[in-house]
Amino acid sequence: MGRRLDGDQGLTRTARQRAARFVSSHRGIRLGGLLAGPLLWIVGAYIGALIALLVTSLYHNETTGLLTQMVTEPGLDNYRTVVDSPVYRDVALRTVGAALAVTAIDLAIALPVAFYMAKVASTRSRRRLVIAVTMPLWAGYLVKGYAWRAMLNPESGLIKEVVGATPGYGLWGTITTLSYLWLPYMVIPIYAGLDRLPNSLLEASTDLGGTAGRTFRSVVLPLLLPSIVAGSIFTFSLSLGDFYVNRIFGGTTQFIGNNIYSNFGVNLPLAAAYATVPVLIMAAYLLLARATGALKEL
Amino acid sequence: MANAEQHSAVRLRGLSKHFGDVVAVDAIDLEVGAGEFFALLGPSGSGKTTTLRLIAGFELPTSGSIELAGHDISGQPPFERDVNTVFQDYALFPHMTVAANVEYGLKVKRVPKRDRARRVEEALASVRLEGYGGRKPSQLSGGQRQRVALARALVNRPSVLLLDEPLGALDRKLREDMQVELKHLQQRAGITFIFVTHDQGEALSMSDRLAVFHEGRVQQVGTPSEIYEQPANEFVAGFVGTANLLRDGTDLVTVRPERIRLAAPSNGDDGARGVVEYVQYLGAVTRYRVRTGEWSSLVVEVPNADGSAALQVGDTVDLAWSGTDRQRVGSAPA
Repeated sequence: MGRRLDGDQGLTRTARQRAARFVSSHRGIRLGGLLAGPLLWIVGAYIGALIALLVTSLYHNETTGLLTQMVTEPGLDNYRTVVDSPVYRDVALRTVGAALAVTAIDLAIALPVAFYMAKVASTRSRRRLVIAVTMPLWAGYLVKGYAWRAMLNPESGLIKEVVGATPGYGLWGTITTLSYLWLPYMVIPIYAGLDRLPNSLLEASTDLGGTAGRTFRSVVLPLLLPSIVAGSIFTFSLSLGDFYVNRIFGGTTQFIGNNIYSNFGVNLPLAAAYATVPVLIMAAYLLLARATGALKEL
Repeated sequence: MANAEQHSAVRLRGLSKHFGDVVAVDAIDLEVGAGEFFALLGPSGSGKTTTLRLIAGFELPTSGSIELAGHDISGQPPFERDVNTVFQDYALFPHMTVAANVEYGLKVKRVPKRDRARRVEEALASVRLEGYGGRKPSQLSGGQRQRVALARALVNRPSVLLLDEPLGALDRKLREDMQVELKHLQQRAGITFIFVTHDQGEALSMSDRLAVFHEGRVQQVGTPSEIYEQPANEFVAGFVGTANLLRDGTDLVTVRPERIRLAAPSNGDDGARGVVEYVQYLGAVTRYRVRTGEWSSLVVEVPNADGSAALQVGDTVDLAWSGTDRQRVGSAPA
């Protein structure tokens, strides 16, 4: 019995070895095995959905009496509406403006914080600070959204009590909240970038006569650009796609996302056409980032 | 060396630096003359690099003072000090070309553009890097980067140039070439060089004078031959070169291995007899360790040129050295 088992195992091992040898000597099979799953997911779920979006945006709705029906006859009418309508244009500009403002605010906060973390703090407090910065990401998005609704309350909110004024639930309230939500995504890449930056470069600059400001402009900032771009891609795209903070705040401010959301049930092709706008803006943003050379080091 | 009328290029008085409980530099006094090539030699953690960083201004002293050409600069930030540093890792700005790196200090100090271009060219020529201005540091070899770092510092014409283990990252052959080149560069520029090294050979061969550091203190200051021939204590004797430690009555003395002859002692000589324990052929010399007693052995170096027959392990030999080659370095332990 024992002997036969041994024999079986010996056989299986040889077969397995042979299979392993075959796989290891064929690079294509190895790569295929490694990437088949993720590739299927990316092509199916992401590219597929994007194509479905684009196709839908070419259809249009027709209303006869009380009945509205989607007609699958391709045309560019939805895009004309999106471009020509002042409302859609204003909403798109407002969203981009808010996303830029959020990015600028996060950058202004993240630079000194990340600098302190990477270059001033001791190794021990550095680890604690990284945890502290990323900790808000452990809490749910909705929890943080509602917490900010409570804090921003124009009558009884914490901010009103402490500061005396509050941005309320308008555009600036949204920008404030989004800045808070996406701050870790800006701090972490900049911290990583500064951590990689040798101290001797900063010392060399001051040694050659550079003041702190000069060193920051001429040495730190150019070398940090890839990290800043990486962070800004997060803060900008996340703000661009956000609509829920506005909903939590009562819908006084409309972003592209809110518009898509409200069109979703009423006019799906129009919603789809409008949804391509942030996609195009993001594509333009990435091309711009690539032009600065910043993506090369990502 | 500076004459008595002139100020020293650098003068450290009671200089100390503490990091928490750690005393990195412990109340050192040191004077470096104008135009000197001065080495700070010591093992890692001996305080030599901290001393250099204190002079550069990257660290502020816990106590004591730093004078540059007679002026107290102890509290000045690095960008106000008339010194420049060549960093161990060169610290070239990777996003700038070689020329922009060299130009940086001039640009920061608002030197007019035309002067800048000329001085950058001169500086690159002085380190034999003409035509390399347009390259990025990443396109250069280690030796070339080192020379850019030198040019970037020297172009500012500092009164003192500080070099932190400048040759540490280079391979041996290149290091020997750069030792000669550095020396030439210093003589041509007429600038005071203070360089940190843990390599005693480098310190002896390059410097006019050197200070030997150990445990945050200066153990001895002197010319290379003073340090080598008359070590002030056991540490200096052991760190600079190889030293045979011997007890002579109540004194602890050293004899250098190359001062010991393979011969029976004659008039006025000290001597010993022992058995060869190992033989190391080093090219120019052969090094023997000779056991002279249960607890004592001597290292002896004999030139290979004199044609004497090489000794084998196990051979019994007579050793002799002149009384004048004996250096007292301290008291023998009781």
